[in-house]
Amino acid sequence: MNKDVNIIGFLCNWCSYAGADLTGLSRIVYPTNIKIIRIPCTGRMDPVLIMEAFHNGADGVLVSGCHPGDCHYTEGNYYWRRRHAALKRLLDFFGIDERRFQATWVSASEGKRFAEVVKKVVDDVRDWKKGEKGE
Amino acid sequence: MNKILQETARNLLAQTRVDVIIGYEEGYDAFHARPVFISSIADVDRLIFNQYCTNNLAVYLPIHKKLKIGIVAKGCDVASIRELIKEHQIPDENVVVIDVVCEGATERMDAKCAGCDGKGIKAVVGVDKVGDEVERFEELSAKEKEAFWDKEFARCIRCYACRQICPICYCPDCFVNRTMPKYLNEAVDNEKNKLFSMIRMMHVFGRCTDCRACSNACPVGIPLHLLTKKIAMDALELFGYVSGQEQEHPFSTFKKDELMEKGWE
Repeated sequence: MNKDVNIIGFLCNWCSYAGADLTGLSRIVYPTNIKIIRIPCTGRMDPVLIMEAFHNGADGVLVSGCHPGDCHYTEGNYYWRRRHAALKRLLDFFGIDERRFQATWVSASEGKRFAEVVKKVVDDVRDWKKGEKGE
Repeated sequence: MNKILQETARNLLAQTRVDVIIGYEEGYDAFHARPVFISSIADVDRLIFNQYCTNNLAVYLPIHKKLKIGIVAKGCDVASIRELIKEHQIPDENVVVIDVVCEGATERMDAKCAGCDGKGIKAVVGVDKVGDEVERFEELSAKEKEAFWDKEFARCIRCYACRQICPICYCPDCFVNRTMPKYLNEAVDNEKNKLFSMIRMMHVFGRCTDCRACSNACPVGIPLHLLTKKIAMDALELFGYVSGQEQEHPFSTFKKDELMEKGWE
């Protein structure tokens, strides 16, 4: 496996973490560049965690939670969605490429989708890194 | 103007409507003013107001929340006071605002006063100089933006003057002072300088009234007003929110069918 990029994945305990579990159980192969950190809910995502991840050398950050309406705590992901929109713009303003910070929804039954999401994020970040080196 | 201001202050103190007046007095020369706390009628004559009175005095309100305070406020400071009352940092009935007409600060405060119509209500998007600057800056590539902030924050000595001067940054336990986890230490680190300002901007998102006290206080002249303007513009664009108004803060509420188009599948 090619470990040229490091991705930190913050997955919510109730949907995405279980979804990632299902990916493994179903023996679906996906890039190993992602290091997964379990969080109770995307509503708990503190922007400082994301910035710390970038500061400590992560090439990309993925945050994934339950689909809107399916949150275990009813509304945590709605708050996150708002914070994400603001944070993404701020990171962009500081020159952190938008491909490096992504967020998505993966439910507990979407093992296949999780693999696709990780593949997409890894490709995007690789893309970014290539551009970075090329220039 | 000073006469009327002093007279008002004298009346307020005489009627014991306030315990203390927070205002400005002459600094070490006629071209500087500094904050002053006046609690006895004998000292009222020290109060002044002119174009050198640039501090945002609202910063003292959360520290003295038990006193009845008369505060000399320009239009831009009134927004901060409203925001503090809204956040329950000081009871509404404890504040008496002594509104002064601001005719613009000195020229060196150009960035602070750009776009102000004298009533202290800065148009949020685009129309003022700083807004244009922000929009121009956003068109740069990610690399150019990063290079710009790297250069600016290389000067940062992390004195936290921007935090101390900010009326909205009143948390007694700021994240930079925490030791578990220790996000920031005393080491010289450009990335950490940036991280501090990014997080501070997230913390004051939608609450910052764009008074630009931080930009003014920065001893090394980092253009923090670009950041505060940026978050003010974002709050308006994304959530239709303007700080200091009677609206729920964008992060403490939500709509179920918003922001669907932006990268959500």
